Amino acid sequence: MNKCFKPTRTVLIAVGSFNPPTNMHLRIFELAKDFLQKNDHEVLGGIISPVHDQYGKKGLVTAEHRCSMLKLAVETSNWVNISEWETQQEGWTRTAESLKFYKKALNDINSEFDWAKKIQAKMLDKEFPLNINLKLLCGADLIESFAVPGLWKDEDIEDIVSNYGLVVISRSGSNPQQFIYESDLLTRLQRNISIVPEWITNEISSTKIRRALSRGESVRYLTSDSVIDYIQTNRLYIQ
Amino acid sequence: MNNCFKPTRTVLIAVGSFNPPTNMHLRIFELAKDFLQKTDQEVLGGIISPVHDQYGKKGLVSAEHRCSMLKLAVETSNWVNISDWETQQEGWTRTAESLKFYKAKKIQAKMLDKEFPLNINLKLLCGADLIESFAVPGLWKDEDVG
Repeated sequence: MNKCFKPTRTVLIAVGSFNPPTNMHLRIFELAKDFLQKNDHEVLGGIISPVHDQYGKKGLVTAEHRCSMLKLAVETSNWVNISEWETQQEGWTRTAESLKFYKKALNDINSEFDWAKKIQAKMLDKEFPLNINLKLLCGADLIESFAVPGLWKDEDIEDIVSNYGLVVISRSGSNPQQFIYESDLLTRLQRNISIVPEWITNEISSTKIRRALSRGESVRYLTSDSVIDYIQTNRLYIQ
Repeated sequence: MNNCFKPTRTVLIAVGSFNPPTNMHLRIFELAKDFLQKTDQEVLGGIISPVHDQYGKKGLVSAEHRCSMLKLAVETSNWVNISDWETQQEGWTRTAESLKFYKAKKIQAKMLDKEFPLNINLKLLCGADLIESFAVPGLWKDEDVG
């Protein structure tokens, strides 16, 4: 019997503060999906996993607010989901730990999580095992942060790249290929790192949005209207 | 009677193909409004005036489509409006002519006191590319740029 070629079932996950969520955050999912689907992947869904409050960044609004804004941001998306899992843990979770949890839940047909059920529902044939791969979606800044002393455990970097894989959206001005070249570890694992060029350069960032809001400036068209309404109603980021 | 300081009443207008309209088009209105309001101008509203089909750019979809898309794009805006005036003329209208026409029209609802004359100033909103296009031979009449 012939074995038909089957694309790799993939889910994309992005972690971070999302303080607040922006059009750029949602846009990178679109870029990654287009890229992977041209490279024999079947992208079943996306997960946004906001970080625990304990991560302690200055100006980080509560998980409750960030999750509410994220839910509004993905309202009109038919494939990207929010997971509050990290925010509900005792404290901050290392990315490698999060990936381990998410991959296991996605491949568990009895998973109770909404996002797992929605993603599994997208599969046309539910053969067992589900064989869903998880890839960490990120910008070049995350890869470059691997070089910051003490920020990442070497074994975590190896774990994340070899057991999961990275999809790196390359903004103009960043050079992830060079960074990979300069790292023996990443060079060895480069087969698992996809670099996606961002031709329509998107300079939106949460930092710039917070700055504009603190100055009373408009952030319309940088993030969804529903997120802006929420920020105004809850008087977030005013100073 | 004391004449209190009154900010200059201004309307912003952007012309172009809008083929299709993008977040960038709407964003420049927001940037301009924030900037002008910090420099004593009261921005009453914005007008998007899509170009006539006859402008002839390759790949330009019909005015009907462009206007429909623009109406959807500004649906959630409480200050930017669409005008299909240019698209309804006989042919393509020079920007200077459009500005002259629009200046005569009014965005009155936003004005708190309807004194006469209405004294509304019209400012052309554009990117650096439009200014740079002034240098392209034959594209603009010198008197229009003035």
